[in-house]
Amino acid sequence: MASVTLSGVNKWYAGVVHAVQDVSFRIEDGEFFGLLGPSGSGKTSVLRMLAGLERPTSGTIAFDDVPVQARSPQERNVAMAFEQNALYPHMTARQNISYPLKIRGLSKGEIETKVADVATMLNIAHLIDRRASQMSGGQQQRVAIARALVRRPNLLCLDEPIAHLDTLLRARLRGELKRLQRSLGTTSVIVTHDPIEAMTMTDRIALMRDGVMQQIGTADEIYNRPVNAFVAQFFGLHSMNVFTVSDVRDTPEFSGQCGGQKVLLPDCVKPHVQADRRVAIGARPSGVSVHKQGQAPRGADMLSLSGRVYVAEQLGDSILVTVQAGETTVQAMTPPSQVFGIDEPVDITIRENALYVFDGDQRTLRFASGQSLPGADRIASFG
Amino acid sequence: MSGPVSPSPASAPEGNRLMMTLGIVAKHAVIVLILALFLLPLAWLLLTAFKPYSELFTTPPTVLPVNGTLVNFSEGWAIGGGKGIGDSLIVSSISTALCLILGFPAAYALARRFPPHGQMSFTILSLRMLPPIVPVIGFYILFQELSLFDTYTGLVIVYTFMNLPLVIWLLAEFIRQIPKTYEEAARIDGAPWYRLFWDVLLPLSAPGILTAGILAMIFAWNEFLFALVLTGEKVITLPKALASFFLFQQPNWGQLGAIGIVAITPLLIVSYYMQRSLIRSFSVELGGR
Repeated sequence: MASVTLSGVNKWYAGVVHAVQDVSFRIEDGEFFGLLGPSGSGKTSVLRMLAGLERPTSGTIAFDDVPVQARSPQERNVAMAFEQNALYPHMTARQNISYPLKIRGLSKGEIETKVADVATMLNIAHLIDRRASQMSGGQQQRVAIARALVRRPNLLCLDEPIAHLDTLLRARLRGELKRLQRSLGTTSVIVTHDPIEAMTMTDRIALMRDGVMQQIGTADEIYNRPVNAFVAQFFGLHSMNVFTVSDVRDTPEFSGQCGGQKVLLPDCVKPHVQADRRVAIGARPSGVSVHKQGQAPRGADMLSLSGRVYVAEQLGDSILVTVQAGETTVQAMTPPSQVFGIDEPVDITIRENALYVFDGDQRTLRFASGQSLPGADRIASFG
Repeated sequence: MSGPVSPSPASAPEGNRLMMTLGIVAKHAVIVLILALFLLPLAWLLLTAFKPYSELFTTPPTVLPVNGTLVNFSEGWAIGGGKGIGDSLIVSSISTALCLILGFPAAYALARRFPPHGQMSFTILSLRMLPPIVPVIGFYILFQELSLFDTYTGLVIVYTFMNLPLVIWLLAEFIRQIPKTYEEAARIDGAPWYRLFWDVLLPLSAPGILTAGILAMIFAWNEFLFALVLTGEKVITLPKALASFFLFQQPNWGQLGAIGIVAITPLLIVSYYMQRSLIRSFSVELGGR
């Protein structure tokens, strides 16, 4: 087990693609760390560099503060579970799990004991003499994780190990993996494109986009304080609504234009409007209320906007209503008792405590859940 | 087709059913015809091998041997068939082994380090498209100078040269189908390169190695031109031995048939048992990207 430090790591492919751009972070000893991002974000490249399958073009990787970027996977003692084709197809589960031990020259008896232990731990003892083709996807991944854990690695790398499984099994394995990691205390990194996987399993998450690190923090921090609109929209079960309001003015009422639609803004937005009279507004669907036309409450602590219902989706315990307001779409989570028809004219309101404010280019968070963020007062106010 | 198209064969009117039956009959007739084209000479060879010399030219000709005999085999073996089979075995098995030993690393590099269907791949394969008559002259002069004329070594070198491109190309295509994940997993598990090769790569590419090996073996076993030009009295491979049977005043068709049968039997047996793995590897080639 080890702590892992990346500093200033860059990866270029063929000198053309800058896949990982100046990434630095530290994973504490025993931590379960998530590398999250859409495809092509560079998260897998980071993992492969951690594992030693690829070398960084520049920068250092250190295990327990000892640089390892020039070392082989074996010298680093890392283990890895792959997304697909995880097991050697010509070997049984037992042979697969014992392979890393055999390479290390352990005695037959030692190997047998260790394999039996890890097989019991992962509940695969009954599958031990089957080949990959005789096991289900979930069983194969369990054997792959057993192979990774059997030698107590310094670092466990998980490359979307459950992404290809069906939904129910994924949900179950998420929990199993989390418990397993906690009980073993092995420093672990999981790569995933699924924010839910990252949120539910890991201690901290690094969110990447186009090779650039966006934000590192706990699920709670990233969810409640997303540094920019991309993070806000990517992270969470439902994407955050973010729209830029332009031509903001104070008279006759504090309002702006959004996609050809007038938006009444709450007072808390005032300090964040830029000199070019733009500001970006964000709100999670759960913080947006939908009202029949003309029935919306009004107040200085509330944003309001009118539009038409584009579609309403039943989610069982709630309804996800998509409202088209000019060229902007806003999603709202409403109680199942509130029924709206398609194309029905509605008013939308967002309360101040559910409101996020970004700069006009949606690059920086200025205000979240009723609080201005440190440094936000430095923006040139428009009036 | 005239008339409305029937929704399913079960409800087809009588006329259509007749057409379908005729179609099946015609299809099978064509198959039988094509099979006959290939199998009749083979059958004739087999039957001739068991007929005594006197029975070969009787009128009317006999189809099945009347006085079956094995004398053609023993005589054919004695006048050069035995030496031919021995020499062919030596030359083709050694050259096949060399092809696989040299070809596998090359194929691996080609599969993992070069783009598929790139210039390198094409250049290697194009060597195999060379008409054998072109390099044979060069080899002849070279072998005279290097004292390789009429030696096993010389013929082994030539057959390796001839079959290596095909072996490399076939194996490279096969290795490309093996996901890289297995190799990466082995590296993570701590396997040094030779264990990676021995424990993971070799077992996974076994069907491809088998196919390439069989093809190289068959080509070397059947090869005639190089053997004719580049060997003399000392090395006499089977095709050359068979051809030499014609040098006698009256070729003995019975002996020719007997040795011919001996020559093709191993190939038939191997092909029969390897059918599935052969087809699998070929469909990898053709059905691949």
